[in-house]
Amino acid sequence: MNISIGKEEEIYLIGIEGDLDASSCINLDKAISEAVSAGEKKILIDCTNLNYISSAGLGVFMSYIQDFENNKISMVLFNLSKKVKNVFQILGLDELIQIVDSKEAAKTLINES
Amino acid sequence: MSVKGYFKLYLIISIVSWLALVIGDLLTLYSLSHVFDFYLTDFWRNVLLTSFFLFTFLLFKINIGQKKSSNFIEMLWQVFIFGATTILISLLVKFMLFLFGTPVFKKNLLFNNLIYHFNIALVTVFLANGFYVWKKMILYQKSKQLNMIWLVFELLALLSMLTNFAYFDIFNFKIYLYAIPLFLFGMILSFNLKWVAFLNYKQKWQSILLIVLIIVIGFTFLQQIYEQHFGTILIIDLAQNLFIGGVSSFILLNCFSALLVLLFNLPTSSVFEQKFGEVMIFQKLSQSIQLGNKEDEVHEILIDSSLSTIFANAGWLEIVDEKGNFKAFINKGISEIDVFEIKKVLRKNHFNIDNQPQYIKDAKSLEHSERIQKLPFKSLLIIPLYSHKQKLGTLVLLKNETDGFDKEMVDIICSFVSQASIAIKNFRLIDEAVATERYQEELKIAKEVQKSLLPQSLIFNINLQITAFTKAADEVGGDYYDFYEYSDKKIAMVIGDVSGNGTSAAFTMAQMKGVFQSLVQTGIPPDEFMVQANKALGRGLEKSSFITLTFLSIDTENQTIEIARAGHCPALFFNSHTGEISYLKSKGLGLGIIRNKDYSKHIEKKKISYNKGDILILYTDGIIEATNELGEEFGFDKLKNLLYIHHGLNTKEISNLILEKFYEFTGTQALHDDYTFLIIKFV
Repeated sequence: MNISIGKEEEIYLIGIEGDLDASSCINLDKAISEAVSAGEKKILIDCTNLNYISSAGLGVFMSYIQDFENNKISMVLFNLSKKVKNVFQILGLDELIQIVDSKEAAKTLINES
Repeated sequence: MSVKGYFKLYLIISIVSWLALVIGDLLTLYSLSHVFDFYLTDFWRNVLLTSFFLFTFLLFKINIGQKKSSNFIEMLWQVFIFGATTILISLLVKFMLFLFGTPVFKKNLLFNNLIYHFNIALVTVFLANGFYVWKKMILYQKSKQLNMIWLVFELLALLSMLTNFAYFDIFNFKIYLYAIPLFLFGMILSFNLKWVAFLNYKQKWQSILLIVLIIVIGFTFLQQIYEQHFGTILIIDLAQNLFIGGVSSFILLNCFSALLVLLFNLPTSSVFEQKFGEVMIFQKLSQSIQLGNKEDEVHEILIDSSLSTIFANAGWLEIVDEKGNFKAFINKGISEIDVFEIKKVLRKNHFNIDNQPQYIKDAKSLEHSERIQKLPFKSLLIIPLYSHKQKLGTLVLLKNETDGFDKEMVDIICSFVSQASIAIKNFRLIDEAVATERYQEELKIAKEVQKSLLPQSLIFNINLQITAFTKAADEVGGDYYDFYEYSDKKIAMVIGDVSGNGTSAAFTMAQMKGVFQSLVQTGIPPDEFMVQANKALGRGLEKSSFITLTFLSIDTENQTIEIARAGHCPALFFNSHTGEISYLKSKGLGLGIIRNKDYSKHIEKKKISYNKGDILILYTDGIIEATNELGEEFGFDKLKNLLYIHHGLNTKEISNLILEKFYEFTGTQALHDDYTFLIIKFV
């Protein structure tokens, strides 16, 4: 799995590529926690190339839900494959995490909040 | 009688003999010049003297015979200390006489003889001590023959006491008849100096010093004896005593021969010892694992041995772990800051200290060496530690001279380094094996726990046909299912999956079982069950862990199912009346994801009616997400189609079919998750 980090204006952009499983989820956790400690308020996660997400990967997103709420940080995931989106939906995470279909939609959403 | 008993007896006899001798002799002398009649006959005087000699010697025979034989220095030291003390005492007496004695007093016969008797005691004890110490040294690693020679010699020596009764003159030729064989045996014995070979260089010097001192002491005694032999009228004169003469010449002879051998041995011994020391270091390095040492100790041994073997002035050792990260650093004779400066100079000069041993004859002549000019070090030897092409670290040794390392030194250090590298590598392999073993052991326990949490048998209900299948992956996962029977008309069922795996998953599962078993008995509806379970589990769960769960209660009397889904894969339901097949999707968030009151907003209950012939399949994501070699998932559709085609079969047959197709699909791919399913057919 590869993590790419970019910055577009006020938006912190994390791209995930490959399989997000028990061994690779530490890298994602590191990327998000770095963003949080740097004081980033708008985080976009690009899931275009995210092939698979395991429960450990879901656990990473899940563990930040409360933190983000407390610190008024918004996070939007975009461009999830049907398979990956389904995993979020089954677990019910789609009700807690903002998931949209495109980067534009994600940007719009995050700038509104 | 015990050895101690003999010791005491001999001690008493020897003291009593000496006291009797002193008193008797003094009284005899006193009666010469006074009107007093006491006369100790020569015969009795010799009896007492001989008894004193004999028992003093026997005393030391026991005393020294008990001592461990290998500590030669200590034995020599004992002889020396004893002799030195006695000499000191007699010198002190002489000095006191010199200061306070009147000439009349000095010439007093009685007084002189008293002093002389003290001298006899001191000399005898010194000789007895020396005699048996040499016995111990001579007989070190003895042969049978040597032992025999000694026995004869000892007997002859002790027998020579009897000449006390014979009044030989020292110039009488008869004395030589006896003295010559004694001397010859003593001579033969004095060539047995095996003990010298077991001394190291330092010990040899110590021995030489001690022996020289012992010789000086021995001569001082002899000098005293002869001084008085010529100076005063003596009632007993040791100067003409064959026994005393024989023993003291034996001791002196041995001292001289040992001295010579020691001196000749000195030059070669340092080379021999260095080689021996090197061998010992090898052994130390290679044995460090068996001895249960730590890797750190190998580092210490390596740098200490290297420094001392080639007399380097300073050095440092860097050790890295498998990933090349710093693991240990030891500096000796050089500060960390200086190490840093030297490394900087090496880097600037593009020395590649990672691969080949490097030798720098004069570091101060390098470029950019301004900042190390003030340091005393000049030549540098840099040797990397390698094992199977993996770098383990670097050893750097420094000397204050330019070109201070010769080829032999470099060779020996290289072999130390390779030996240490092997030891370090072995330590790491052992650590790894231990960790793996511990992990395997943990997994085994976790698997046992997990197995014991699943129901041992399925419940029996006349209206239900149930088949369950579960298989744990290599690493323990967290699939869980359970039943509860309210009555013969109402049962509850649960299937779940704990995120993560290993031991923590097994224990979360154990918690899950506890929560299920206690909540289910209250008879609460499925959605309320989830809210309560979320509350109970949320407290103990790790921040990033969660549990997915499907809970359902089946009422066989009214033919209804109440079901709630907390993030778990939706149940698959086949309606035999309409022929419809669908996943029972409902809103439902996994347990432990949000741990506050809001959870109730994210869960809902679904109620469906069923008919006979309907089928419900509960399963975990291990079934859906299993991949084939192309990376495709087994998926929801395949499961759905399988049930659709085979709904006419009984649950056992459906189970077998699903497994057959499942394994056909995954092929030889290793499965990373547990997979579990429950098939319920309403009959």
